[in-house]
Amino acid sequence: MRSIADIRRLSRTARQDILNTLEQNLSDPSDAFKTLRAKGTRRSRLTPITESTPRSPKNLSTIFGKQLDSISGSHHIVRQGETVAGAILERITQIQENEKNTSSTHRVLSWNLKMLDIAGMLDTLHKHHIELVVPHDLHDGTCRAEASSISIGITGVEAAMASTATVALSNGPGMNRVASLLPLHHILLIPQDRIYPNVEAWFGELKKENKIEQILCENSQLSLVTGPSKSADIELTLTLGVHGPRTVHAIIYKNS
Amino acid sequence: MTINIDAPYKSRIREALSDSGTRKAVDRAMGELAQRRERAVNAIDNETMRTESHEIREHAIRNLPGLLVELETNLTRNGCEVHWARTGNEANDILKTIARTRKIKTAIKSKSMVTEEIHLNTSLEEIGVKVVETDLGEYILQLADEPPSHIVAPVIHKGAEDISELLQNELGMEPTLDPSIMCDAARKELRKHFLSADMGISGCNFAIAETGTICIITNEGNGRMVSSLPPVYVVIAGIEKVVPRVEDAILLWQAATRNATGQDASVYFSMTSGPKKPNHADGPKEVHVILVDNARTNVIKKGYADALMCIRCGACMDVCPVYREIGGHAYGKTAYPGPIGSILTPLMNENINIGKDLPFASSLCGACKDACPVKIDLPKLLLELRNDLSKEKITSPFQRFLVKCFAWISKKPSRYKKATKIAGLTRKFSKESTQVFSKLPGPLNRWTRSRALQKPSNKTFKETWKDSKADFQVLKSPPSQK
Repeated sequence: MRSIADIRRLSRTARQDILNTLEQNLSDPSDAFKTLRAKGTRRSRLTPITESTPRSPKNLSTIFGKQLDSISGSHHIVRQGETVAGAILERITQIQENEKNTSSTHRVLSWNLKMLDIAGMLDTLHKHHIELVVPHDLHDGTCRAEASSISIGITGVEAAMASTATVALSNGPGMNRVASLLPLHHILLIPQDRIYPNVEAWFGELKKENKIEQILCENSQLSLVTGPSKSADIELTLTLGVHGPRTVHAIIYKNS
Repeated sequence: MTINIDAPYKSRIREALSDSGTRKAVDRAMGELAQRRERAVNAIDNETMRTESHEIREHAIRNLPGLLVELETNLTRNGCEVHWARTGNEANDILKTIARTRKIKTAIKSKSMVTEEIHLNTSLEEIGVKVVETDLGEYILQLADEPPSHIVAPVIHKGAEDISELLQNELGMEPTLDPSIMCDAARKELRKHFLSADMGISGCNFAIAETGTICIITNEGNGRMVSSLPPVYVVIAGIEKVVPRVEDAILLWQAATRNATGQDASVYFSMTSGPKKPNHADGPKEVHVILVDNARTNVIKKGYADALMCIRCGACMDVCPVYREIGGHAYGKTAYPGPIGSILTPLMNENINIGKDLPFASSLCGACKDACPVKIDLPKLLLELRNDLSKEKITSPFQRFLVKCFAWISKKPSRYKKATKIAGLTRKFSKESTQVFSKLPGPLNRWTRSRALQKPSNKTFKETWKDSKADFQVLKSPPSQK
């Protein structure tokens, strides 16, 4: 049996060996590649894979919604006269009806929604007996058991990409991973001005503003999520919710 | 039926060809996957995506040493512990030590080819750690004690009936052929493991050097669970997985998913840079990254660095007429079946006899080359490998003798002329009235055992050319149009 010190020593020798061999093999005058197409060049700007023409936020909301519907998700764009809280309540009622759940109180696994700063939302949800559960430490047994018993999760997003209906979910203070992972139903709250044409546009902006480090490294994990959890392992038949949420519903709203 | 993957090459192939049920299932599934793929790549500027993906991967392989050091520096800065391993055994030793010192009892694992390659499960089980596969397909295979047969759709050789029976026996599921009910049964069982396991293990699709970020692609969400729920998360990454920039990973992610399953984007793309911070509610407390060579440097040394550009999308398998007939298990005891596997398996095994026949299990039709999202010239690599194997005298002496004879004949026009004349005479020995020999005598019958041989023509090509010269004259000078 090796000790930690042993494997550290082993790792150091292995590192040196691997790097030396690589240097040697790659600098060999007889090329390491059989085909020489790019000869090691690379371009500084890559071509976006999907649609990238700048569009109005309203337009992007529609594209995002349609795309999400097409990959087994659903969406609701909050219109004038409607509220975000109203849209959430409507969705929860829908889920309850589908699951034939008659309980009057509903516990929802959630981010700290105060951060989203949506006027009056928390009060309205409270009035309608929606209890938002924000877990503090998932490595604590009780907290974990509680989180895993809840069937609806609500989160915000870092950004949303219209062309593929992808959302970027990061984790950080008040933003947990489990609310978008453990429950069977996930509700996304997406402010209209966080929707980008495609994933390249968002990362492009982060790079320009020097925010890549902050988004990727300080948050420890960034997840790009596109629709509900899927599998086609059994005879290529599409099945939803094999591990993550079975339904993903986006509520898109105009920020005040 | 599952074929014996340890059997010799020829009996594996024969076994696979005689299993018409599996053949049909694999052929149908591959046809469907190939169609989905085609739709997804035709919807975009595929050629540009392929060119750029190729450039990224080639640049990365050419600059591996620098990129690996940059990756290590940034992963360490983010709070990960980076380990290096020359072989699968070293990687397993490191993992076992981590598991033992943290008193790990159960590990959950998301689908990963490199862990298949180094036989990680067996190794952890040796020290009493239970490893649970969490990808639905891999989980089914673990229950059935079978290896995967495709790198993207591992259980594609099994029908719904087989899977249902297995889940009824193992999980006490009610009889059903409905995949969603089967999924539910697996979800319930696996959820318990997700919540209780003390270690998560995954492979790595791309490792971003500039930020120190490990990216994994899943559709089910098991990758996100494995990297989020247990207190210890261990990543096993082949050293070739590194890419320089975030945008490279974003491009390759889309190239991989479009080619693997025909989706615009996979459901989950989890980008982990380090352990949780004290004010985070969840995430692993420790993240270890084990960078594994396991003969990758050797692939470069042998001059096949092209093969390391592979992003494991499985497109070459879906379009390969050979794979579609024989399925993945016929390729033997290897983590990588299909065209790319036929290159990697013989190159990555110390014992060259393992997988030495695989480069010959190809018709060189080129479908894989046209499909490959990083433009690996697979037929060229297969041909080069055949050449190398023959130079190393690994191919059969009889085969080498025949090829030498052919070379001797072809080197001089006079010899070639005589040989074609003699070949034409062989027609006379056949009693068959058809245009083919259906059975050749002596050792030559090996050729006709599974296919007929076209009879040589009575006249050589040159004679035919002479006779029809008049016709060609006409063709040369078409009547002028008025």
